[in-house]
Amino acid sequence: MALLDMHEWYDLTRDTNWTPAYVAEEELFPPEFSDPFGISVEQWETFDEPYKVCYRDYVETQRDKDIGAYSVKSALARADFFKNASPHWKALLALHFSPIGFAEFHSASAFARMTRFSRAPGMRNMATFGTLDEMRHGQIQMYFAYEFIKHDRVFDWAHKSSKTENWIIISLRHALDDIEHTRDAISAAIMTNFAFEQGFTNLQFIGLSADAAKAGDHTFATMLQSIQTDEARHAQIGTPLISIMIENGRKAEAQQLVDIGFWRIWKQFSALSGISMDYYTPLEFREHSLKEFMHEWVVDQFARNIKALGLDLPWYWDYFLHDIETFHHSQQIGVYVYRATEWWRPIACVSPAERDWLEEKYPGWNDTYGKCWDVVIDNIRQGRFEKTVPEVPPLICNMCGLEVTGIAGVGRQANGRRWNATDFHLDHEGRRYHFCSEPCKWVFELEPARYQGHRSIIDRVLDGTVPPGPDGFYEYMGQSFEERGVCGYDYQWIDGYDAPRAAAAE
Amino acid sequence: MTTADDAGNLVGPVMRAGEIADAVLEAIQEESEGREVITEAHASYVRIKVADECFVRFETVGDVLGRTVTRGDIEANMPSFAGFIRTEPDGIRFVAR
Amino acid sequence: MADIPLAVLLEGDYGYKVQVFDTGDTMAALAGKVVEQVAGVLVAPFPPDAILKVRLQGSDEALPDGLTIADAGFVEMESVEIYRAG
Repeated sequence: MALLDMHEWYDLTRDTNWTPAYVAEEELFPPEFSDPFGISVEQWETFDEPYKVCYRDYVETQRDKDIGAYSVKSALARADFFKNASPHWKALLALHFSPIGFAEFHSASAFARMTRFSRAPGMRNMATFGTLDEMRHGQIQMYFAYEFIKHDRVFDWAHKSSKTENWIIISLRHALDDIEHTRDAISAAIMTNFAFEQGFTNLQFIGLSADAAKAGDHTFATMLQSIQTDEARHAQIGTPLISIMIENGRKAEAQQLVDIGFWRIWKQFSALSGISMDYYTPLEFREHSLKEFMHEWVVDQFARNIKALGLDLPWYWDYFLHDIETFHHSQQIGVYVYRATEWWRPIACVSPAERDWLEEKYPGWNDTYGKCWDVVIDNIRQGRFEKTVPEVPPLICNMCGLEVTGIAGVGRQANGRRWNATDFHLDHEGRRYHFCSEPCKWVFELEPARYQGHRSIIDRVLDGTVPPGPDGFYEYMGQSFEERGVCGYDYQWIDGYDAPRAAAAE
Repeated sequence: MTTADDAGNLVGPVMRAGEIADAVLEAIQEESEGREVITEAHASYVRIKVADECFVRFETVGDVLGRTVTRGDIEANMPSFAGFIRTEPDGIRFVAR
Repeated sequence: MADIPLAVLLEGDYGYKVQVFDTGDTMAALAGKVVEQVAGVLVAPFPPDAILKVRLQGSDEALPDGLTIADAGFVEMESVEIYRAG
């Protein structure tokens, strides 16, 4: 039977709005869920999805995508890639799979709310497919991660993590709850589909796939890109929304949503992709540094879209460019030294050769972050392992949930920058809040009532929420003794530092 | 390294490295006669860039591969793109705005 | 005297730490307690004759060595820097 091409019937079948007869319009589409901006339904009906797909084509394409990804996986399953992978790559896989799989699965509910509450029929179409996409992303990543469980129990966290109060999971959940799960359909879509998905997912799912391909992990590389082909489609929900907002006098509101969403997600990717690309990827497989990938995907590709749509770059853009070069280096120190608070086996990745690479990509690294690592390295070389773990906890940002950090090092640096870790704090209703950055503080100040009740993991220690005793902290975070991170190389990475000394002695 | 200001209006697909990517590149070159088509090869993906506008015609990609190519075949191999996308009956268009 | 948690940053460290002090601790004692925790762990040990001072985050002025936390009026989780003055 001959079938009409989608474009011949799409516009007709998309027209699914109707006039409710039994309930009022605002009961069917409560503004707080649907549209708090007061834009007319006629305007929403102008939403023209740029990346059109129909269910028939969707099912066929998704089936082909799954066949592609799963067949690469099964073809390579006997290659024992994982068993023979270095602790670098194992740490990278654990860092990717543990938090992301379930976060994507949860995104299905955010898309489902867009499907239910958007007043734009075209957006409801796209969001329906987005809902199915996110279920696929949850399932495929859970399935691929679980393949490794027989080798390494760390991958149990692909499923477990989202149910725990581990500090990293709290950080991720806070960001995603904020932008995806607790806003009206329009705001959530602008923040999630535009700021998050168009802005940042390319970084982890395409940039990192290049590293994976170089490392020979074709299963991971294929899976990442397969997922991203869905993102490339449903991420387009945001662009017509922003245009409609601007045309209806809501540019300032759209801008603010982008600015909040972009910053909140940048902080997550800074730690996730930053540590993955600049530290956990073995040196010989690094395609680019985080900074280079950020420039390719975000500072170039995404920023052009922001401006082309008629918005401005976020007000903190200069600070953001600075943050690209700094934030994740400090976070990596913290992730390594506080390794018992993580469920995988963190690695330092600061061998002499790796430091040379870091210095080349981030001039001044040795004089700043390298100074802290020098102390850690010296302690390991002297066998003072207990000194490689601080006894005092770090200060956690009351917005992003990551450490409050800055540039390490002492005195004025060769590059003119000075040691300048800064705590951006705020006193609000009798409580002092701490922030890692001006934008994190700005987000809080926009709507204190929204954020003030949240307590960071450190706040929970201080207020007694976390049970006392040596194990209380870990048990609260869902980590049995075996689930507390230890150095992935059992300190053997330090061997490189003995080589110059041995060579000199000969 | 490019910045938001000097990147110009280069638009086009980012394709998963492979035969579809090669065919899409060839089809774009055919479609963009007289205009420069820039490619940037990475380990797992290739960026194809044309100034202002870039069109991928399914039929041309199919001719290169010797088989029918659908929108889904392109989608399944296109994890990203630069610029804005427009799906059309006979192909996919990328525009600067 | 009572416990009071503070957000402290020792010069050279990559980020802030949270440490509990006694409100009767002087600034000199506070600095000493931070050095004890962080120097030699994340920051190179200071020479024995190094002079360390305490200042509020954002201020250029050192607080007097003998001033107690209670007299300084620190709020809970006050942010302070411990830096080398000589």
